[in-house]
Amino acid sequence: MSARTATRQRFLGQAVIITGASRGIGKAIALAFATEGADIVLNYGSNEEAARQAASEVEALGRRCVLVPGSVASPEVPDQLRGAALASFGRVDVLVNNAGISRDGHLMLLQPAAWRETMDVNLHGTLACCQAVIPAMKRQGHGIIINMSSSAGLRGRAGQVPYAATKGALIGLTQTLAAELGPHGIRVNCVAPGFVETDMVAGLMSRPGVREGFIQSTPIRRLGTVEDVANATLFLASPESAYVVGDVLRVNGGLVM
Amino acid sequence: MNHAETTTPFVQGLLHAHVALVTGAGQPVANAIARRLARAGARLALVSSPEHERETAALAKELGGALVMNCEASDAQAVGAVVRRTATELERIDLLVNADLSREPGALSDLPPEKWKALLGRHLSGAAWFCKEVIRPMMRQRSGRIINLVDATSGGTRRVAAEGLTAMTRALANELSRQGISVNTLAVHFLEAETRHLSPEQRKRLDGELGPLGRLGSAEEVAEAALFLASSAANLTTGQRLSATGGPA
Repeated sequence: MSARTATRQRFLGQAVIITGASRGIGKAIALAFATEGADIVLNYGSNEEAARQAASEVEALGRRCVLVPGSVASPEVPDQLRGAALASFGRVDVLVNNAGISRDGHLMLLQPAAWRETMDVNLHGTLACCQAVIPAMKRQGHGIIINMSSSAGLRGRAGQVPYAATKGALIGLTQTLAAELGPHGIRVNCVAPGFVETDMVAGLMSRPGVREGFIQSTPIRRLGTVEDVANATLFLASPESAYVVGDVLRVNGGLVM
Repeated sequence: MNHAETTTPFVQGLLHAHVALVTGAGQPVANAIARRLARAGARLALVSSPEHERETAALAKELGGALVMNCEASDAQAVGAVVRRTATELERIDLLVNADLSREPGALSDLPPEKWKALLGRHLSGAAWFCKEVIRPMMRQRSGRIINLVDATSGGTRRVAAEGLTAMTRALANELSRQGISVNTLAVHFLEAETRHLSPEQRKRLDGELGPLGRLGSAEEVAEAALFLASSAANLTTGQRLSATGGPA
């Protein structure tokens, strides 16, 4: 990962919760916030070693990091995330719902369990995390929620029906919550990345021709980096986007316009 | 005035011998679509949720007979059984219309998780199960149409299900285009007939949201849009979201 240079401290002293943040996009978002002064509640599913590594990288930036393990689909995890932010930092300024899974395959052959698993994490888990922090954000009179959609939520690909359905639904969730929470000073937006090189797509990318095909279908002729997505996420959390509400920020090199 | 009756350009017998499976039977939009498809010559299988059984039986009688079934759409097994029965008794499935719409109110910020899961289980997952089950019979025929209705009114889980179904439709259209199966979304808004139950204040707010046409539509007008997507007029149309809302997205 390329070294970040902190030119600004837009989130100094703020508390940021990021789900699914031991690796990939989530980790890059955690490090980007920490670089600009935020303390981090870092959730991870099961990879404890990676999570500890991410935490030590946050701490090396001079910020605090609290680890909360477990799937966001588990009933207790969303409350633990809020509890960790309030107990350790006394506030919760930003929630980034990044945790997500993909169970690809053609719909005709899809097992109902795979659909439910995708719904549980991508959709139900996201709403549960939102609901966990909303009362605290309302009390503060401010808050930022950023959901991680996908270009699949805008134009789904074959073999990705459950993923597309949940990522599209997240756009509806974002817009609905944005309308409900705007009057309370809480802004809700989402980011829709295109092809980004992460562990989630490593298997797919290793198939012959796939990586090159993705690059060729992206007008800017490269895959996205996790930092590209982190930069967009920080913009949506910053005062620079103060009038951006219920929006879908596409970070996809022109893949879906 | 019924705008649809006076202007429809579609010929009789357009869907002659087609078999259409319509969900959400017993609700105004699904009923209007079923009537319109029947008038175009289609044979119908009507699926209702248990609370709409009576209205669905009445509709079937009015249509002079239809295969009537009821099931909880969130139950993948039950949906599979309903679709298999349709394919067996009516021998094919040309068209699936997922028309089970939600009008449940309530804010998402504090919606109880069990309520949220039940609504999405029915309106998003339920629609997916019906799509999944009709693929096999449609693949055998090398043709088929799927129309997923979405509720374009805001609030509650409606927009969540609507955007989810819209994205699912696009993905599925990509998945099935080579099999001769097209998949589209049809967006509907409040119907004029539904506004009778609104308070003057709610009505005023709704009027403020009206699109360019400046009026709400009828179920019959929505049914004409569904007929377009079901007909050969839409041969080149797949993965699209057609809005029969008078303007609002």
